Amino acid sequence: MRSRLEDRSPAGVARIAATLRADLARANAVDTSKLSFPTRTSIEVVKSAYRTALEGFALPYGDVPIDWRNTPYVVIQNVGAYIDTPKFLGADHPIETRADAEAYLARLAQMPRQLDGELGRLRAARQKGLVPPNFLADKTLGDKGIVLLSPSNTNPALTAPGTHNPYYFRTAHNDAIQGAVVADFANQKLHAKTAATIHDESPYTEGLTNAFKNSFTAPAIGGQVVDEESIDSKQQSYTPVLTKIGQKSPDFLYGPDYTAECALILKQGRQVAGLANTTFMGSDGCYASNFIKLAGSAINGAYYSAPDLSAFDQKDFYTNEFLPAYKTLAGTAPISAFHAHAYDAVNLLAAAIEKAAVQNSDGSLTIPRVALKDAVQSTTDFQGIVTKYTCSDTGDCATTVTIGVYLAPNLAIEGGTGDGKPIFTETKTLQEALGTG
Amino acid sequence: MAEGTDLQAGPSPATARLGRLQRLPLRRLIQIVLAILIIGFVALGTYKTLTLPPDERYDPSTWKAFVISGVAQGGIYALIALGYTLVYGVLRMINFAHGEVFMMGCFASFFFADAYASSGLLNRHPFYALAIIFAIAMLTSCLIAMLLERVAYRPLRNSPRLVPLITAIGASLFLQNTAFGFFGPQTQAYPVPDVLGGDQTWTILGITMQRIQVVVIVTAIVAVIGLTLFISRTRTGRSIRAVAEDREIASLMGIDVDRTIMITFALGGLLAGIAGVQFGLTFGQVSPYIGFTPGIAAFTASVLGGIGSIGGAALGGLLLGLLQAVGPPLLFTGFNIPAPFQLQDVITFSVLVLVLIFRPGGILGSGEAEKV
Repeated sequence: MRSRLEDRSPAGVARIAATLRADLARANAVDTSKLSFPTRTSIEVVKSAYRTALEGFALPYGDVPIDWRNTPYVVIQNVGAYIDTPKFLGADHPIETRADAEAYLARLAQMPRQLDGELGRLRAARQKGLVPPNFLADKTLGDKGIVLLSPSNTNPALTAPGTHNPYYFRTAHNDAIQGAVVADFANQKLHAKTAATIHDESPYTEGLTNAFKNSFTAPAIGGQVVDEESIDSKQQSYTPVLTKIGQKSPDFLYGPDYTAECALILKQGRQVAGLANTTFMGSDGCYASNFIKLAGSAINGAYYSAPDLSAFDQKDFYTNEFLPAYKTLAGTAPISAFHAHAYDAVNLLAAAIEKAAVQNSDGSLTIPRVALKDAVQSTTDFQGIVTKYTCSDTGDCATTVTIGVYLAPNLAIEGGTGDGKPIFTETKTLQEALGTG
Repeated sequence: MAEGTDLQAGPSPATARLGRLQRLPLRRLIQIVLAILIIGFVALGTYKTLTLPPDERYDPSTWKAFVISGVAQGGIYALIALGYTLVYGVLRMINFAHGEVFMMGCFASFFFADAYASSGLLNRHPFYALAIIFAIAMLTSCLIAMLLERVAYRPLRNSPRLVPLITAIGASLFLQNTAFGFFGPQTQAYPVPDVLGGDQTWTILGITMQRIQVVVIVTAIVAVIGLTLFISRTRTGRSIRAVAEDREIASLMGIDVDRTIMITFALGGLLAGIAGVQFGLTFGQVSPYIGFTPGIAAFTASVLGGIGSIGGAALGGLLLGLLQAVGPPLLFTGFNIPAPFQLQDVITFSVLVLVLIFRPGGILGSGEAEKV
């Protein structure tokens, strides 16, 4: 008994109903007048639950969770073996002895059969025209099945095996690449031997400092990270942290963060004696329209990495059509780095929808979610403004990325001087950056 | 609890020694154990940090830098903390919206500072420009504090204490979102005149400090002395003390209680306005969210120093600034804890909890526990 799973096929359900009926008859036959009040109540509860369940079994459709309410649907967001069995095995099946464990495995092995049984009932219900309404079906699928195509998430963990959600994709670069390019830049152009990092505990900043550290300390570069610090982005006084870093006088200080924090790190860092000979570098998160104003003169001589806008595949289209159209639409030039990635993401998604959508007889359109996910997943050599996208198994669609390093104040933002061109660019594939190629 | 053991009449001689231990209140016992653990941890951490190998040890100039930045930060906390403490002293109420009063002052002055910066006045006549900027901030904060008192707190003055506390939190959110709605979510660059720029320093008694840090510290000292004199020497100050002592008797003595409370809020607002400009000049930034964290820190500082006490607020602010700057490297470097400044808040709030356990009235407070 302990090694069996409930049979959820039509025949199995009929057997359960028969057992219930027999049990209820036996319970009805008991003379309860001589029993104590609590026992009588318990028996009444059992009888009532069984009666409700039998009412459910009397109907030719739906599902009957014995201790709960009958439902007209075999599988919805809170009903079905797909949710009950893992819950049961996880929470209720004890594993203390060898026999327990073997029973557990036996039950696990029966799960496909159980799902098949349920599938049989689903088909039967479908033939009767019994389909759950959209809001229930959507919820069931949507819990696991909404495609998210991000133009600006860059944290490596989002597409790392083990943490990647199969419905997650991005056209933004993976920061493993940005971190690797920054490490190469520090090594090749600045000849930095020692580096320190600051992050603010957010996934974006910590993802970048980790990626940088991995590449900078890898044997190919052989650099040393002498201090790794973090700041609280709700605070404004970073002088103590920077003073601590200054104690080690690193050649290179990498502080990828958001605009306000980047400006504070720069302004306060410039006043720390130990950092007088340190080169400061930030990331694309710093790179927003009011950055130069916030950082003031402290920004001069600092470096920033960001997607290289001048290395776009469709440079002419970008300059001659995209930018003017953007200006007309938004009333301003793009204010942050990922505008072109967003444009590409929408187009990529539209192409996938065209592949996956089904035209219904009444003219309406249905976009099946799983099919949409599969369509995005199978994207190969999709030409966008930035690059050609091919989505990897773990959702990275920009697999070859060009990152530029910019020297402030020559930045393509408000208050920037010069042509806004990077002083160092490097194109890397994801495999190179992750060291898996 | 443990006192209950007294009911057992006549302990046998064998248990007499145990009896004394049992009579020790449980609370006291926990306090003692806690104190020993903390002192042990602090001593060990400090010892380990100070005896690190020479190449890993902080040199004296680094310690000096930690202390200076802590003191400067503490000066801003102290100015905001004075506002908390004044209101608490008079109304026994925590004005949680005070951080937002500070933010509003900073924001209002930003618009003038920005205009003066683009017209060039800020660098040509920094003294006059700053005087106007300070005046605007003080005026704005003062008006907002008075408005808060009139609209949000006065109608609730005789309700249970929890009610104005909740209103205060509501007022805080209201002000934050008002600033957000009017000025937008972006962080704005607060212009700093060149004479107070980050690279401008003064050397006082052999210690080189950024000018803005000197300004912050000096202003805080002047504010504390001025406020103390005001409270102790002037007629209005005397009436504030009288209302703080006993509102009903004060009103029987002919003191206009409403007016006195209004003045108290106004004073707190003025100081918050000064702190707002100093914040802007120190960090060069202003956004609708800057009020919250310094507000909480200043509240902590005033409780630390002894809420209701002016000297306590100043001392608490200073201590808190120092704890945040010196605490993490001093306590945690020796244990080799990575990124010790992550634990800044742990130190801050541990100290708050400890003060509340061992000295509920704060360092300079009365030593009594008072329920808010």
